[in-house]
Amino acid sequence: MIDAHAHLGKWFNFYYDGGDFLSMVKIMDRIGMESAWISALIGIGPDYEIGNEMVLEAIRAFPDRFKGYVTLSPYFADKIEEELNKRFSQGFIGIKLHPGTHMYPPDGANYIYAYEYANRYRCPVLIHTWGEKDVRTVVDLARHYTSAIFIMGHSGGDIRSMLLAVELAKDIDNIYLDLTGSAMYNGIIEHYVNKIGSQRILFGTDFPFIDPRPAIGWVKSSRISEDEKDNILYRNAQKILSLRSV
Amino acid sequence: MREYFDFNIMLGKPTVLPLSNWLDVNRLDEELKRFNIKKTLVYHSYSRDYDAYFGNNKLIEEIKNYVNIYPSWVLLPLDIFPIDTPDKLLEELRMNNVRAVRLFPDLHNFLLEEEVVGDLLSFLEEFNIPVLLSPNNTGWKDIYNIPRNHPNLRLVLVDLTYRQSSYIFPLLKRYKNVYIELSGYIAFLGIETLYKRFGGERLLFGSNLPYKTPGSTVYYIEKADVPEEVKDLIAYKNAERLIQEVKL
Repeated sequence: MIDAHAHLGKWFNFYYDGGDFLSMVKIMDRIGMESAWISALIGIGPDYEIGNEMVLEAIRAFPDRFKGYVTLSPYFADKIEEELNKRFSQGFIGIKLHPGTHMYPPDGANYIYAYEYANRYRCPVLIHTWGEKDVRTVVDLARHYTSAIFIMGHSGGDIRSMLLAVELAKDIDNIYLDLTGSAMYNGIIEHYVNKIGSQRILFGTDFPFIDPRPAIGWVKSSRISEDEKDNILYRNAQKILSLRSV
Repeated sequence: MREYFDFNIMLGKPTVLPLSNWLDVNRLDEELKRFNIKKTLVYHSYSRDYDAYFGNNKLIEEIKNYVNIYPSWVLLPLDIFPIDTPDKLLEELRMNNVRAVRLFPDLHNFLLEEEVVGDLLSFLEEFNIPVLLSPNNTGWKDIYNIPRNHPNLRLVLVDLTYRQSSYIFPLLKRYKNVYIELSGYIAFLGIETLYKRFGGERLLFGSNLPYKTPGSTVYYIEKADVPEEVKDLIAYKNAERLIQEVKL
């Protein structure tokens, strides 16, 4: 299994045990998760620099188990180029944007450099989406930046937006629908596979923001073939990594 | 394969149905077999989304041939419910083998104040009838008032979220009759944390079918870093004990 949407650290307004990379590796070992693609929670919050450093520390401690997203803040737009060059040279594999916490539109001007960068190097951009507006915006971005790989975080989140996401993303090959979310709607995986096949559905859990095990149980018990489950649980993530030219 | 007792299932068509995954009793039976769920406690969507009394009777009719499916009735304050006294309610619950009840205070527009539900909660407390309640449907301050006023009432919190540990921990610490149904409580290391702090006797397996698959919580329990005997408690035995301790 590869968790393409994971985090690291603590969140500001609720409690859980652990959250450091050692606690994450321990649970990954227990459930047979090969690797997690992480961004630090402080990075999508107030400090992207500390966050990216925390991710680097995790990658260096467990290079086979963690891969890093560079988290960017739209409020430090003049630092984005420098941060991307620095982190990709350190082995990060993608870009993480959280327009929700940063309260900044996903198609806002300060994100443009990140999209151009992803387009140039065919690297994944994981964008948090919540609601139909975000879904439509990511679809427009994917149509414009056709070489970038857009991972639509949470696929819009609420059930209506998730249903819209699969309709709009049907014919756009550079969008991957991310299953991450606490709701884990019963039947949505089957619906997605029925609509677009299993090759652009990506497994993620938000771990350690949320425990990864319920999401794994959700995918494993879905009424799709074992081959389709394998695509979702790890092959699609492997394919995204193989596409990169960074 | 471990046996499960599912404490949180809804039968019937809800008003809002985006994925067409509602359960009739045949589909429910299939799901139970698929996950080795030997017993379950169910309520009816019509009790929640239409009329409690009508839905409760519909539930009894639909599950009459299934001895492993226990009915959970949705109740209203007795002032506005057709069964309007504790004595009549006791008779109806006995007759229909009802082993738990649910309340939807916000959805059904009533307060959890003593003036409104005090007599009902005292009755349920006296007969060890578990009350299932979701914080999605009432405020946490109201939930805290229930064990404060009715310390022997078996209060089962259902449909929790991973963000609610700060509310849950003090309740479990102070009130021995508060239980947690796990389908929504997917906090990181949640089962391990609850077990370490409060033991495993008040944790209950639930699926929240049809909204969620039992596969999620089954996997969570099976992969939890707790002793096997604790998994058995969570999966089945705690629920069985609660149901058997009902004094009807």
